[in-house]
Amino acid sequence: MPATFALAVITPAEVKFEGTAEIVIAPGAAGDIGALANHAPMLTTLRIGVLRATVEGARRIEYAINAGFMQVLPDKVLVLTDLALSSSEIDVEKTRAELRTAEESLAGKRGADDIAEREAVTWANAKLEAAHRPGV
Amino acid sequence: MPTLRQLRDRVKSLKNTQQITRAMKMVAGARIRRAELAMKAARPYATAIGEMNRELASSGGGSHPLLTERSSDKRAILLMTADKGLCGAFNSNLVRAALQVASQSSSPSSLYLVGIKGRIQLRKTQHPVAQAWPLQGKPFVELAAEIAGAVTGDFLAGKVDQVTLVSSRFVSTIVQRPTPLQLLPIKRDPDAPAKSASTNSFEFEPDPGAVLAALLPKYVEFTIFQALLETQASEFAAKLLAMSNATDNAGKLIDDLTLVMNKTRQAAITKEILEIVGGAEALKG
Repeated sequence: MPATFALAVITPAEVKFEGTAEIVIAPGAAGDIGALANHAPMLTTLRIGVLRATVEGARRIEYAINAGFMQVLPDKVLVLTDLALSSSEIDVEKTRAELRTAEESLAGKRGADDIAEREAVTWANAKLEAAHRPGV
Repeated sequence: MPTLRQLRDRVKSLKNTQQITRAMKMVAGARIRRAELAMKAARPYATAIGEMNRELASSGGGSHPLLTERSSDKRAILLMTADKGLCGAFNSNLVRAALQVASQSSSPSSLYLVGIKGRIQLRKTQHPVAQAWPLQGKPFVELAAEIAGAVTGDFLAGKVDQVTLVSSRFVSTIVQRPTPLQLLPIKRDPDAPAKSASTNSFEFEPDPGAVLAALLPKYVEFTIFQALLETQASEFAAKLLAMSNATDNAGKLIDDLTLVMNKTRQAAITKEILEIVGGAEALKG
């Protein structure tokens, strides 16, 4: 049994996950960040992406998260995000449709001010990834 | 003296009113419970984001436009009220608290209004309304993001120099208190860094400035989100009380009127009997 730490995934609306974990891999601002127990204290922003963790009982959990923050302490990891969706909460058909519309409007923008469109595409992809259904 | 028929109609209409107020009371009661759960669910996030903010403050991630006090006083007030009335003095109390905050500055404050009632009550004041939103109709997470975006945008653009949030604090089902809170610039707890001395070893990714720049707007957004939840719970609590009083009062009125009604009816019957007896006596004679 490897060393564990307390993991909490918190959104404004609910505590999504709370328990002990062996490893967490989060989409950090500058690339994915993995944290095991006894990690050095760190505070980082998170991109839109998929948060993965192996928790007690060798169970694996995955959430599509809509950006946020992660605080890492030697014995505790705190993930704050606006939205965290597990695969059962993701409607694959609807998300595929979302992805198509997002990609179309991104193609229509051609560069300029397309941050919102890019985010929509990334978010749809993250949801599909968390649901184990890659893009169209 | 009203006639028997008039009294009977009054009682009937009062009973209808009582049914409505009783239904509204029960609806408010059920909603309070849900609103309270939502408030409780938001608490861990509040603790966590407050903690992160403190870590940042103590590790020198200290300067950001949202934290900088400005000297000039273009004040703004973000007021939260309900969309509907029938909740006692709830809306008026909030509006009064907002006007009190506004009176502290000599020039008019610009108003950001959430909830339709506040907009109606403040329409005729000297304070210009910058923007207004209805409370209902949108999930609070989205509404909070929209409000935060508008207010923070105006603050950063220099249109306003200080924003005070006036909303209702849900103390208990019986007590709700209109509370002003300085929203922008963000005030930090001055003695907070002392609590966590070990935090100087924190690493920041990408860097403290970037984390701060991402965290502060979220902090504002979440403060607004929480205020929305508390204001809504308070509204339901105020409505529960108002409707429960209305139901009781209707009940009292019904009792009083029923008594008068019965007396009137009895008087009429007594009169008729007297007439019959009188008539019979006259015939005998």
